[in-house]
Amino acid sequence: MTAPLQRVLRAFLEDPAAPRYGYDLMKAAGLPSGTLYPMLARLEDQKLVTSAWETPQAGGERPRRYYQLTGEGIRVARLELAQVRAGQLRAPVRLGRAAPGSL
Amino acid sequence: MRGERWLLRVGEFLVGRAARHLPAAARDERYQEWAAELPVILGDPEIKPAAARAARMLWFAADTLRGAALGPGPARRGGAHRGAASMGKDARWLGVGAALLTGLAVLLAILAFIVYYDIFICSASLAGYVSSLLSYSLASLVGCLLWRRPGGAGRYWFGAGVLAAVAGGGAAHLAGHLGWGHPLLFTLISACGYAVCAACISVAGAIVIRSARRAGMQERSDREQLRGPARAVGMSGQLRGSSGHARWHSLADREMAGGDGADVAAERTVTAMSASGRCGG
Repeated sequence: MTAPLQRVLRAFLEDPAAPRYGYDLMKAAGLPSGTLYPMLARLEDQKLVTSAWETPQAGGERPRRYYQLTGEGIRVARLELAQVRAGQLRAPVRLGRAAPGSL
Repeated sequence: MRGERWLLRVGEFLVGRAARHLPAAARDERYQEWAAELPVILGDPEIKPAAARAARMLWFAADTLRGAALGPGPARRGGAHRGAASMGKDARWLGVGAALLTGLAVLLAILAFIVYYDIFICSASLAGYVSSLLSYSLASLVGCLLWRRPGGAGRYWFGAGVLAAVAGGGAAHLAGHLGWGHPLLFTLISACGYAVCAACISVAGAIVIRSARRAGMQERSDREQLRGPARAVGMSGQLRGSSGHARWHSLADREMAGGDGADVAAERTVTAMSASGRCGG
């Protein structure tokens, strides 16, 4: 698992039920947008993260897109982060890859 | 914040460029997402002062462009992105363009210097002033024409070019009248002004030509779209038999080719009825 992905998952797991906007995640994970958005797209592809658009506001501002971990995403994120914390290397480095179907 | 609107435009331009690297299906959605974050960053109360917010917003947009153009990820799968090789090609073309423009500017500077030297320093006659006046009038006329043409950026380039020429020429005139410095120095300055002017006007011309070409392409595309529904009627007709279907197509084609409207409509009705089994004949 790459360090940026760990940071993103930790940011999500701070409050798994809370919807997180891209900019919020950038600040929480300390990642630049060019790293964060491709990662979110990948996680969404793997059904670990779900996204939705907020309802349009009265002020005419553009609706923002927010992200949330899915149930499976929460489970996998906790498991993988626990593995990292424990320093276990049972699973090979899978999270950094872009291959579909793998984290 | 002053200039917020312009900053947002710059940011939107950058994220728009980033979205162009994505597959067509994801492009619009991603653009909306990124563009929605820009005003939030500009208004983030946690970042102070305002200049830091502006820098953060621009950094966000620029890094998004970097991520979309170069970064790995499924967002770019689908083949609609342009890879590093293509970017290198772009950079090469930009380099070639810049070199050509510089060469043109140098040539024009030499030419302008010769003309200027001949008219204003050697002869110092009325003809020089008349030709100068004519040149500026011609430039103004071209500027007016440009203003009426599509391609707004061309106007600014043209304006910048005229400004450079006026500044260069004005400085030389002023120095000549007041006896400042060496005449050759100010002649060179004015020649540089003319060179910059020529380069800017070239860019303006290129922009106008490009926008005119785009307008032509858009017009052709609109025409194609206008022709589309006629075919769509033929495709979605309620005819059941294959021969009727084929005939419907041929009628649609005849209509498009300018056939007699009443005849075609009558024939179409009969065709539809016979195909659906309601016509006894």
